[in-house]
Amino acid sequence: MRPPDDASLLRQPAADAIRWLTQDLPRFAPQNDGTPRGASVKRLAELALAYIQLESWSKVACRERCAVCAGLETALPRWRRFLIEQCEMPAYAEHVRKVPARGLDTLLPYLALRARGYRYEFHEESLRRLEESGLLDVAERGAYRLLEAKWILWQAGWSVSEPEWRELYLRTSLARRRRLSYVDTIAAYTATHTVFYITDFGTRVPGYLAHEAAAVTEVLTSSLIHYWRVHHWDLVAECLLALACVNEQRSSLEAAAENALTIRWHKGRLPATRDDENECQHRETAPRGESGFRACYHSSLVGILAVARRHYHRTALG
Amino acid sequence: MINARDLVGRRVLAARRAEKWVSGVSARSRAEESLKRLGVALCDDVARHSGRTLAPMAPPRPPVITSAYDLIELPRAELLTLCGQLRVSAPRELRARALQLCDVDAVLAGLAVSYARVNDVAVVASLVAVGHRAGVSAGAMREAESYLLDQQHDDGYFGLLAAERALVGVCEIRPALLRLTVDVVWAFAEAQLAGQTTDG
Repeated sequence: MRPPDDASLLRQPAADAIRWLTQDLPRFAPQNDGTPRGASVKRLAELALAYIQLESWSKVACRERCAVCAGLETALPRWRRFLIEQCEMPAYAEHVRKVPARGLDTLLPYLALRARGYRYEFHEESLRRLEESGLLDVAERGAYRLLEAKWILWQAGWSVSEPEWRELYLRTSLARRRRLSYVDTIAAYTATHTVFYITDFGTRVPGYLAHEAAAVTEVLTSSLIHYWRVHHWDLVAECLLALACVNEQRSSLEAAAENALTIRWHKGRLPATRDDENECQHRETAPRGESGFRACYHSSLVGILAVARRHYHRTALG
Repeated sequence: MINARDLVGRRVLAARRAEKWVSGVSARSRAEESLKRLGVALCDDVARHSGRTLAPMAPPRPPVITSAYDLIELPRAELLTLCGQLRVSAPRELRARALQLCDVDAVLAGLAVSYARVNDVAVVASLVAVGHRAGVSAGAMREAESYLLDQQHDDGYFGLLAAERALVGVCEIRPALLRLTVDVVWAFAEAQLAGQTTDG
C-alpha cells in the first residue's frame, strides 16, 4: 500500500509538540553557559529559524483545518512576541557590541526576525559596526558554516546580492561525496544543514541540485537508517526534514521511519537520543524541567518542521 | 563513486592474500580446523570465480521475515543469528521472499553501512553475504563491501584488532581473526557468485 504523502500520522504528535514548546517558551531565552563569553543564544536562534520557516509555510491555506495548522495559528504569534521581547533585552543587545567577534552568531535570532520584516535600531547599528569592522566577512568559515552565514544574511535582507549557491554547495562535504561508511554524526548534521540552506528549507530546488538529488538522497537515506537503528531521533528528524526539502514525494522508507518516530514522540516531547528515550521510559512519564527540555526540545522542533514541510508542500500542490 | 570492476579486482586480490594467511593458521581444535578448511575453500572460490563451496546439497528454507523494516531495530545478536540462517538457506526461495519485502535492498544495504559506521566487521560481512544471496542489487551493497576490503591487514586476515590484541593477547585474538576472515571471505564469495548470476 502506498503511504500517505504528508506524514499525517505525525501531525498529532507535532501539534502536541507545538503546544509543549509554546508553554515552555521561557526556556528558549539565552542560557548562561558559565563562560566569560556570556549567555548562549543557541536555543533562541533555533527557535527563530524554525519560526520564520513555519510562519512562511503556514501562509498556504490548509483546507482540512488540521491539528498542526490550528496549533501554529495559536503558537506563532506568541513565538514572535517572545522572540522580539528577547531581542530587545538590553543584555542581549549589548552583548553584540561587547563581544563583536561573535557578533554575527549572537545576532542570528535577530537576523531571522529581520527576514520577516522586523527592525530594531540598536541591532541595525550593531550590524553596521560589524560590517565596518569586517566581522560580517565570513569567507574563512568552514564550508557549511559559510553557507549558513551567507544564507541568513541574505534571508535577513542584509546582503543585497544573492549568494552563489552552487559555488557554496560545491565546497561542502555533501557535494564532495564522502564515503557513506565514513559519515559520522558531525558529517550527518553537516549534510542535513547543507540541504536546509541550499534548498532554502525546501522552498526552492536549484537546477544544479536536480543532478545531485539521487546522490544527496542516498546520503540522507543511509543516515536515516543508521540513526533509526541507533535511536538517535534528533538526526532521524533532521534526515526526514532534509529529504522533504529535496524530494516532493515521500518514500515508503521515510513513512516507516516516521512510524518509528511516532512511537517515541510522547506528549509533544521527542527524545533526542537513546539515552534520552530510556530516561523518559524510566520515569514512565515525559521528563519535566530543564533536563527534560534539554533532552527533547531540539528534536521536537525539527520534528515539527519535518511534518510541516511535507504538509504545506502537499497543501501548496493542492 | 566505487567502481564495480575495481571492486571485483580488489576482491580477488584480497581473497588471495587471505588464503595465504588462513592456510598458515595452526588450528587448535576440530572446530577451528573446519573453519580453516571452509575459509580456504571460500578464498579459492573467490579467486577462481567459482561458487562451489556455497552450493550445499540440501539448503534449508529461509526463516520468514514479514517486514524489512523490522530488521532495523533488531538487536545485534538476533540479527547475527538471523543472518547466519539466511546465508545458508536456499537462494531461490530467499530471493523470492526478498522480492515480496518493501525496500529490502535499501534496508539491507543501509544496515550494512550502518554497522560499518560503528566498525562492526562481523555484522557487515553477514549482511553483505545475505544481501547478495537474497538478490539485492550489487550497486546497493558496493559501499559495504568496499568497507570490508578496507579492513584487511597486510598479513591477509580481516579485522584491524591491534588494540584488542594488546588487551587479550595473541592466543585469544587469533580464533576471532580466523572467524572474522572466514565471514568476510564468505561475503566476497556470495558477491562473486551474485555477479556471475547477474552477468550470466
